[in-house]
Amino acid sequence: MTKLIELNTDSNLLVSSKILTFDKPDYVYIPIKTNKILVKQNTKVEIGTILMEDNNIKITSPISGTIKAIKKVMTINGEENAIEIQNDFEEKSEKTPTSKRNLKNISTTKITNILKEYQIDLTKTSNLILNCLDDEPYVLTENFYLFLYYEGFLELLDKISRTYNISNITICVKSSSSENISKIMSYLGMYPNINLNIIPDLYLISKDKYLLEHLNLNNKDTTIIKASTFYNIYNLIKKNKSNTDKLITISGNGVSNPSIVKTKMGAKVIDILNNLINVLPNTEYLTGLMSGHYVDIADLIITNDLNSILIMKPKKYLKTTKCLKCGACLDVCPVNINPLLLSDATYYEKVKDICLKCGLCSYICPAHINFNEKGDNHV
Amino acid sequence: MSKIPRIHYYKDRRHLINTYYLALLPLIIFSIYKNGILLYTNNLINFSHILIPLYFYIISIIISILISLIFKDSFKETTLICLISASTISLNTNMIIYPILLFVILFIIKYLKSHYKLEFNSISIIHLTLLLAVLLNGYSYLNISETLNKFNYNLFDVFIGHNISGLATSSTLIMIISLIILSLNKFYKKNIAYSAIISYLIISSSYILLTKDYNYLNIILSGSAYFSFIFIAPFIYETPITRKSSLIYGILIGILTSLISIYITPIEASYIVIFILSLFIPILNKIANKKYLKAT
Repeated sequence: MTKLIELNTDSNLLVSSKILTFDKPDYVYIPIKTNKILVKQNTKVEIGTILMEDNNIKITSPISGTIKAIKKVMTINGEENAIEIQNDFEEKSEKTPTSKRNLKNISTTKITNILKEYQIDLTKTSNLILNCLDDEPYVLTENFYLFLYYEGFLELLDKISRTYNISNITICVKSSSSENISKIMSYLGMYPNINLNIIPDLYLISKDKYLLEHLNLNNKDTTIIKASTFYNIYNLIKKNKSNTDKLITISGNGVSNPSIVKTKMGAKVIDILNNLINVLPNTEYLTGLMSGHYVDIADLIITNDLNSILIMKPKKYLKTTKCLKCGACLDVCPVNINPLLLSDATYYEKVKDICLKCGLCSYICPAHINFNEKGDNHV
Repeated sequence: MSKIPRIHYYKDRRHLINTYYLALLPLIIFSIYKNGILLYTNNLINFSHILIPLYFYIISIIISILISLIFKDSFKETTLICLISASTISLNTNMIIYPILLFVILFIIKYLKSHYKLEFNSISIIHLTLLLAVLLNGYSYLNISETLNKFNYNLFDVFIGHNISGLATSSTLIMIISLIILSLNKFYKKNIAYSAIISYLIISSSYILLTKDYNYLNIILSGSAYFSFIFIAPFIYETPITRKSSLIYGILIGILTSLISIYITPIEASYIVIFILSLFIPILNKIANKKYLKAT
């Protein structure tokens, strides 16, 4: 079993349990992922209008408004072209969201088709895991999906359990998430087929491989669904509502009100910050403190991949000293590579796809060596 | 979009060095007691002689300041090297030659390491060089009470530190405490220390059982070898990297030290072994690296 470690974090840095909402951005930007764009400039779109399509992937509009132009924006993966949509604030929707749809009446075929959109096949699954774990320190996005929508999640898990005859349904939450634990515990009596598993607060444990290892489960008959994905599935099944909004954690020691923000897909991060967050002067923006990177937030937009923005006061990095040969980096590496050899071009080529870029080697190094930099030198 | 973890494990190199100081301090205090205060209270030395152990420590700190200034190096680290080295020397070391030799050998080591990237255990070679200053005063590790055989010490006294050894290397009991302190630091290479101690005890005990030479228990219970195993062999930079090669390194140190102790010299054995084996560390690391290259 892979030995994972608990990160050393600042216990004073707490994310507020009050959710902030930013659901009326003036513009949203939808990155172009396919060649088949189905809308034209100046055409009107509604929430759920298909903007792009490629095989099974359908990208829909999160707001109602007008298609303005194709613009360059910044995403977590770098610069991308995106469709700019101007909001008309009418919130018109192509599909009519149904607020009180009874899950009992929804057919198996419908559920199967929706799950297929997310590449999930539950027909051969014996264990279904709802993963509500966040790895990055001070990020609670997945945790808050459960916190906000636990009643619906439990109802849908129960329906799935009966539909696909899944014997083991487990909700995984971190041991530090006491509010979620008490909430779920109080409801479990109503759902005897659903279990709660309290997972230790270890870094990387939310990754499927390590979670399976921890739960002693087999990859073949187990399906793991992230809480954020499950939220989208839930909306489609229960409310017939497209994937239009997203939770994001905005925290760090550079903000006075670290919070979870519910926002529209494609909204600009800078607009959220200007409207909701008290950012201290002279701060730096990162997507995560361990595996994330620095970002320029001027044109950064909310996408599915972006779970958090960490706003930090500038840090004085301690001087890198000579390697102590303590072997801590070797001990801590979850994929058993030798970070000390990353400066060797041949070795780097061999391991660059194995390396998780989790940052654990640099985190633990007593000589403050930045191993990512060693690898980056070959790029 | 550079990538770097913004948080760090709460301990680092500075903590490790501080832990070394913390572990060394009780031994230094005991050395001042054993080689100064105890002798003075028994009217074996006059008051000024109490300061002799202190002299070696203070002069070592002064030398380390000089060397740190010359090489623009970490003062704390160089001082630690000098204090560990001073702890190993004899009370009979020539007080004039000692600072000169320490300065010269430290200068050479720093120069070789910074210019030629040579890897070897610094403290062991410093100790072996400083032997010259002991030889000038007639090679002996005995203090005045040990020379006069004034006290009749039993095996427990030997264990707590009343035995013939370097300035601060006599107390096995305090060294156990030091080992516990050091082991609490994640970056201390305890593999080396523990494997060396265990293999040393196995070989030495086997020797006693085979030869029925029970006087050798005095050597096993005295601290000279353990000091090297705890403070010198696992010292910060000059060790193998992987856990496996560290274990092999520690076991070899333990075995060879016990053999040289039995057949040649018990006090210097560990320093000789550590210095010689440290020359092979680059090879051990290369083998470990090759395994990593093959494994992927």
